Amino acid sequence: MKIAGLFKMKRRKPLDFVLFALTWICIGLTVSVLALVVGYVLINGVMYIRPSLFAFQYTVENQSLFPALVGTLMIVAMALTLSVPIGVFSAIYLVEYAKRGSRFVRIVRVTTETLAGIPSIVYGLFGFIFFGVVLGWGLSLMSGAFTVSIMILPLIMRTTEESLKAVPDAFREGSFGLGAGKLRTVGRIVLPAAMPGILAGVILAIGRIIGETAAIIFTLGNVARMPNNLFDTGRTLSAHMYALANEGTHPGEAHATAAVLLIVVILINALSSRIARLIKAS
Amino acid sequence: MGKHSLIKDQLTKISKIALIIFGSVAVIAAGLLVLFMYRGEEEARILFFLFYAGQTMYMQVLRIVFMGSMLPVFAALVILSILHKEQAAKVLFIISACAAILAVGLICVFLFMQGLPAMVEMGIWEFLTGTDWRPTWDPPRFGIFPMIVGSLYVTAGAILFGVPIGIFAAVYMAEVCPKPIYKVLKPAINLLAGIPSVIYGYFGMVVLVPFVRENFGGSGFSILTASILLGMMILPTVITISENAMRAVPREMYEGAVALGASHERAVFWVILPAAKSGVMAAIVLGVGRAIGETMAVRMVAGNQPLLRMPYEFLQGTRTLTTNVVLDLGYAYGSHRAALIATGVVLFVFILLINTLFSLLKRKGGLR
Repeated sequence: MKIAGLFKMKRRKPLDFVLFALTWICIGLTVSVLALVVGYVLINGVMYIRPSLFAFQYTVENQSLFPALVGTLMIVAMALTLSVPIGVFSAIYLVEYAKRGSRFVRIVRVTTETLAGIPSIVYGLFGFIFFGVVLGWGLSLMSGAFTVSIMILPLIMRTTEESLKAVPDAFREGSFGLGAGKLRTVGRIVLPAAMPGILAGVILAIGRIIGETAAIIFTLGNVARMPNNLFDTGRTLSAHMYALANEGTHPGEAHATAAVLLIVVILINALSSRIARLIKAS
Repeated sequence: MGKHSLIKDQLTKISKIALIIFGSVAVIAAGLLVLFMYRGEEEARILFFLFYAGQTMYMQVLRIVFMGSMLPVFAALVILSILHKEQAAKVLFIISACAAILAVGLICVFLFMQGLPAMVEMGIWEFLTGTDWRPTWDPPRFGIFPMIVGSLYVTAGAILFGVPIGIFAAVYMAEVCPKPIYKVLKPAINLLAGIPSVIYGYFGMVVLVPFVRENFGGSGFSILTASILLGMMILPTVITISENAMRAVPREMYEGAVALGASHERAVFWVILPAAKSGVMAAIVLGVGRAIGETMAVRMVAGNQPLLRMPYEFLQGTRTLTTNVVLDLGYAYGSHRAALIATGVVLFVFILLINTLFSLLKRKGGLR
């Protein structure tokens, strides 16, 4: 019956045309959403970017984004230090050591998927309760970095896993054949071969941290100043952006900050996809 | 060879014994310390107890015992890992793999531990179906029904706008698009997924809100605005996963349809798309998850009134579960804070259900 239906419908060409026109329209809409957001933010923001925006200190008169930039860099550095080794090691375990489909692997898979699906506000709430209140770290770089590092863990694990799986088994067999042990094979042969993929994942993770707001404002806080130590509060670029947009008293600075944030995100995305393309080419 | 391995065996044995003895002493001392800290109602700086000056002599003694026994433990661990690199590395990898489990466990335990008692105290039914959110009243009233409904509205709106466009765009990406255009479109859609939600929120605030105000009336901070914005935000999710689902359909099905006389269009829409049904459903479910969990963008355009809205009031503002937390958590304390954590628990349960549904559909759709 289905086949008969196919034959019958072949004659009704207009419907085909409409459906295909719809796919064109919809992809056009998608691209125009991107063009609209990026274009609007950049065109309105770039003209407000002034040197004073990068002044060392944030004052009431000059809403400098420099302290937020420093805070962002510190959070990124700390979160990566925490998350990258753990994420890479666990991916190594899952791909190289564990038996495929064992119960432990299944549990790790399920929990990683769960972590990936948890919205950032829930991370913020958890970080606020656990790192802020229970461990007594308050609003600080430490709470912020730990919270965000949990957030990016599934991303790093997944990309590392995929790039480890992409390394041909012949590499491993060759290494074993030459008498190398498991650890040496993984450390000297497999990991270097998988490095570009891991790097692309880490860069994506950086983008995620920079874009994060909800989890940051309840763990790192949202105070526009340079953090003095690891237990001091601060803000990141997106938290800064959020504060400026809500205050609404400095539209120029808000526009400019949005543009800077977007430019950073675009650069990071471009870098990540460039690296990913290099892998495909090789 | 023989002598060497004899020394190695002896060293291993000694370090293992030292590890067990001093390790258990350290664990007991640490456990007692933590217990004392909680009993003494001091701030429990668990990870700080090394540097934390204990109030009583017991605690000081325990601290010295703990630090003293940690030294041999570390020494034993170092010796063992030098002697048995392979096993040590494997153990390290296994411990790392447990990190994700530990994180999910901690999140569940602490959210539920802090949220559930408050919920039970308020009455779970009253909390879930109460329509008044009045934290400043005496006694305060915490009913999150308006927020649950608000979350459902904006999510439904996001699906209305995002899913049809997303699926057609995915068809274009998977089946229509010429290769050179694809090379440009794919990074563009990845970028769409990478734009931070504050930027979307800001865009919504300065572009969509005035647009809705001028064309539909109201203040512009409304369910409709939030739905449009969320629809834009879930587009990349829906497109990417539906596209993967369509690519996972065996090529023979398409070829069979064409061989039977179907046109390319017909084969795509009547054979491939139905075959990719589960994957497309998974894409929609993940989009729903994104929309329910989105916080900052919604907070900036939705108006945030904690009032129960009817569907025809889509030009009025609403408050969602996520924005409820983000609006009040900064200054809330006592029962108010507990009610916010309970709101987070409700959101978390929603997300867990959605994730389970997603992974079921994903497996059915043959997606990785």
